[in-house]
Amino acid sequence: MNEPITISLKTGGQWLVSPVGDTTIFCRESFTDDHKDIENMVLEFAKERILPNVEAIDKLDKDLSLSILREMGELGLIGVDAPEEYGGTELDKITSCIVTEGVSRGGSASFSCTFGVQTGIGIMGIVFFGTPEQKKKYLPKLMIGEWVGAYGLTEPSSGSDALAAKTTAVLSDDGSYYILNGEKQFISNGAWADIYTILAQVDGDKFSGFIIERGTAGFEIGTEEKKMGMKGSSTTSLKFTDARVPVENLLYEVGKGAAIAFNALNIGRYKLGAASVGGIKLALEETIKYALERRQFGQPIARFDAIRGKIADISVRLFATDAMLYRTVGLIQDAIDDLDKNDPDYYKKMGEATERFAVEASMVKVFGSETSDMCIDTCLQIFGGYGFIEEYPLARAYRDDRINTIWEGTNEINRMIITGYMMKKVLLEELSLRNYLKELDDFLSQDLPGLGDDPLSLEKYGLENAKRLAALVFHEALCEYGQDLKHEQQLGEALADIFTEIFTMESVIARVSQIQSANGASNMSSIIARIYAAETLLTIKSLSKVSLNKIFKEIIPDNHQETIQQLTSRMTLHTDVISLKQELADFMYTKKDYPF
Amino acid sequence: MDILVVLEDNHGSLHRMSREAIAGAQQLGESITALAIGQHASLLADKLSGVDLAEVLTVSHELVSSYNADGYAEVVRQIIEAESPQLIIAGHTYQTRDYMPRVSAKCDIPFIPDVISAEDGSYVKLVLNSKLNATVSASSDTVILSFQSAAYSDEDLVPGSCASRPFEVNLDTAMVRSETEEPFQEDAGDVDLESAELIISIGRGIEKEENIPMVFDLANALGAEISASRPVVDSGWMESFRQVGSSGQTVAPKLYFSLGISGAIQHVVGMKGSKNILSINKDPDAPIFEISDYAVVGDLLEIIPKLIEALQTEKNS
Amino acid sequence: MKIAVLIKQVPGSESPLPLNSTQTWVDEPQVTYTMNPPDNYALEEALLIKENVGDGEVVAVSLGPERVKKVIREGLAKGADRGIYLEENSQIETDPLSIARSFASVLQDENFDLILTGLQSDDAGMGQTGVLIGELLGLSTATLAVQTNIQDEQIRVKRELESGWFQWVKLPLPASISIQSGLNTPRYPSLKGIMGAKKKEIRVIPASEHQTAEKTQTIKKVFVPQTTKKTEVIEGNADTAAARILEILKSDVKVL
Repeated sequence: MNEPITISLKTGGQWLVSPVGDTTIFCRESFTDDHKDIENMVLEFAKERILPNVEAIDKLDKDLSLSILREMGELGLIGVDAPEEYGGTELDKITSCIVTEGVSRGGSASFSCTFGVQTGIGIMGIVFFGTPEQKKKYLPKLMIGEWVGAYGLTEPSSGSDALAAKTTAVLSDDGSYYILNGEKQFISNGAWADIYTILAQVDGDKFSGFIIERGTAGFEIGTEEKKMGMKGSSTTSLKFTDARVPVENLLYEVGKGAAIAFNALNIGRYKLGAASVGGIKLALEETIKYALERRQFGQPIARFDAIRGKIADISVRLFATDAMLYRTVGLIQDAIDDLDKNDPDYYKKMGEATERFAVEASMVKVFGSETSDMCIDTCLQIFGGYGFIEEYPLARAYRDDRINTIWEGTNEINRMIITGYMMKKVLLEELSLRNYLKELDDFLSQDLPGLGDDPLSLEKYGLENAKRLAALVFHEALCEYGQDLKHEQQLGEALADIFTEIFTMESVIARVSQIQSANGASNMSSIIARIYAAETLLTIKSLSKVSLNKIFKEIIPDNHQETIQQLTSRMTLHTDVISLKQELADFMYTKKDYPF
Repeated sequence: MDILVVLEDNHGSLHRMSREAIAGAQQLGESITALAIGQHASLLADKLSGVDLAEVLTVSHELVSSYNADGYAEVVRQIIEAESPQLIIAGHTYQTRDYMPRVSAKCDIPFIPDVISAEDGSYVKLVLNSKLNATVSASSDTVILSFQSAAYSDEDLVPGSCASRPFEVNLDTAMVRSETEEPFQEDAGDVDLESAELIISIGRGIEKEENIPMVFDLANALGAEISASRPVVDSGWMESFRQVGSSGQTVAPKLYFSLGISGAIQHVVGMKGSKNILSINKDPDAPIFEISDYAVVGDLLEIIPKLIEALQTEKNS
Repeated sequence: MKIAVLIKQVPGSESPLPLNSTQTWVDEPQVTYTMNPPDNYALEEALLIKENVGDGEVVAVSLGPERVKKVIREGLAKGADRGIYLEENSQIETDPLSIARSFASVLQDENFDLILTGLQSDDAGMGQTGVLIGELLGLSTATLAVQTNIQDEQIRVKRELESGWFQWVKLPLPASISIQSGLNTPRYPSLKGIMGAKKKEIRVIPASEHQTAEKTQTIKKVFVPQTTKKTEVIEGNADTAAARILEILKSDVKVL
């Protein structure tokens, strides 16, 4: 008796074993009028208020950055994720990403960081876990930017290993305050903040959160770090020497610091994806303009095929990041929508709902930051020598972008999270690989379904096969290593990439199918899906091969040989990606920007 | 009467665009009557004594001794009623835009503004920020037109003679509801753009205020005056007396050297009489290039330093 | 103080402007639209006047195809109290007289103290709707306002004249004023404003209820201006461009 498990809660990872095209995904094209109006407003604000100030902000102009922050507070842009009762605007997570993306279009990653901390980690601990008194005391002023927020988790000796923090908090003899000792490092908004959410160990091992106000005796702020990029954002250390923090400033409960930390991270991860999308769009628009203006050998460099290929590559990857980002946020929002807003634990439950999509949030973080890496680097390349010159926009973007694969959990940590959580889902039978693979022979015995009118039917078919191949590889990896798979990091990373590519490719195909059914004329997005699918299936094949060679120690058993052979041959597309990229780039040139 | 041209009193002299409007009218019809209104009416009529016109009507009434929209609109209405012209023409000035629509509504005659050429009942006007032109036609026999600056040249005025005739209008104080104060100038400055031989003019393409000193360096090296387009003045990067265009100065230097100016009509009307126009703009489709003698497609922030350098080398050698 | 602001939706300054197949206007589907920039200043001025006076109502009014409701919504998001939408089936309506009659027929019953318009639209650029409505409704009018002051039942308007001249005009209310760009700093809509906009009323006036007048003028054809001037195009890198400019200054124009 192997009845399928009914999952009552909406949770991530299910896409791996669900048929392609089974569900409608949330994507940019699903935006409501409110979403679009807010997007227009933020884009206009970013263009008029941030973009002209990029250089000044980069000189670490605190007054300028904070005055823009306050303007945004007045417009209600700081409080998208915070309750209305305490001055927030309390809109959905889609809006939160739209705002994050829009702010990034202002071209100052430094300001995006200041703003991101203020609207994210700097306040979310209080929003999620604060008492009504704490919320009332701190949130209204944070919402309008009168106060600036910061968050301290990382320490000199604990970065990725965050829970190993050494900062201690000891309750005073009379029980009225905690005495903090220790040091925090790389704290964004460090020198500018008024309110800090700090994590420390109570009684040596009970990881706990505290709200600490600037000016608290024994709390000192270090000097500004000299950073490679993000030069317009404040980054300092924080030092606690017998700093006295009133007990009423304990955040949540003693020993519940991990919940505070991880919630902040999950949110930070998908928002980083949103920031990446904004940053890439701006870089791409600037690059297209430059490529059309810059002439060599008697024609604009945009017309050279090598440049067309690059413009197409960036556009395709950007489209994919956008698709998987908003799909993820849509999934999270959908789970949040099931909650009761009047529940006193609404925000805690929101945190739990978000965590059920930790896999997807980490995928967005990894894919978004690495796409941003590739795109900004390619844009700089198109600028040629001028890309290397500071007066041009790409040099700063390049330096600023580098941090994205490091913070919010390094991409190495995030890949471990992806594979680790997927593993957990299989072990808890939230995700049934076994059931899925049982139908594999059946699936393989079926012929290629009729192509019909769907211009992406081959791509969808390839993806169905890729999902089976991925499930097979994952299953074999678990059989071979069991729980020890988490120590096989290289293999774990390959698996994480296979999962991410499948999720992303499916997001692209679903988004494009939805655009087509909504608007039959849009064949450019279909070209994007075809390019992306052709290239991604190749990547999945190659990652799978590498993984299987490791799992089976270079000897693939006979019973698997044929299955793998069959699956991979059905993943082979004969798409002429070069011609499609030429067509796509030429279309982008007529639009002079990124129109999707 | 075929055509009525309404003249504009420019602080006691005849507005340049009124002369252009007459030149245009002369190409469109045989019998042209000009209308001069206000305290300087006969002065304006005198200025047209050598021009081939049927006559000049002068209106002197205390309620229209200086310009006001209520009175002007009513005067023109009464003349149209009495004289039945088929075309009513004026220069496309701020004043025309202020009262002429009222004439249109009073008489139910369509007003086609901003016309750059006219023939056989179809009129070409600028649309979409002068990026496109449109041919407009009217369904009625009578049409009001305003001619864009320099659509016709006053050098083409057909000489001849004309008499002037006072025209009695009926106005009462109830008709004039607005109280108009004396015009005044703000912030005149000591820059004489109108007689400058060489003008360097800055537009939005300068990108930021920090880049402006570079242009002053260039102006020093060339001995040029500096002007600007409205967006630059609105940003507060330049004094308003340096503004060229419909709301600023009208200039006609030997060389107008435009830097990062896109060429919106509001700017172009103030400088298109320049003898030579040299423009730098990144956008090969910038409208300014259409009226330029020399179109440099490129980044002014790169070119200007090189040019300053070249000028210095030139000087030293 | 009851103020109507007329807002038009026009192609954005960066929108592509390809011609339609009949060459009578731009090809609608390829155009991106925005609020006519001068109207944005008029809207801001209306909101400021209402805030200064301390009470009253700002009504955002637009005419056009369905899409123009977006600019009414934008007006509501920025603080207008309600909207009036005059349905118009054709994509572009260019006859100012009949447009003004449509507006006048709808606005006259409302008894506005003030009607504000931008000085002209960035599309057809007729620049007369506000004045026409003023005349049709028997209001006093002024154009190119760069400053406004309300003083009991009167409005004092600083008008921009040409060549750096200005003039103050005092008008009795009700009045129709056209606003020059740049006289204020238009606000951004706040998130609350955007979310609240959909709860505000937009009264829809079907085309049959406001269109009565015959068209007195129409656009027959649009075309890309042909330059008659012979232009030398200079391309290449900054060094070659600078060298050629120097030569022009020395030898062609002879200003050195």
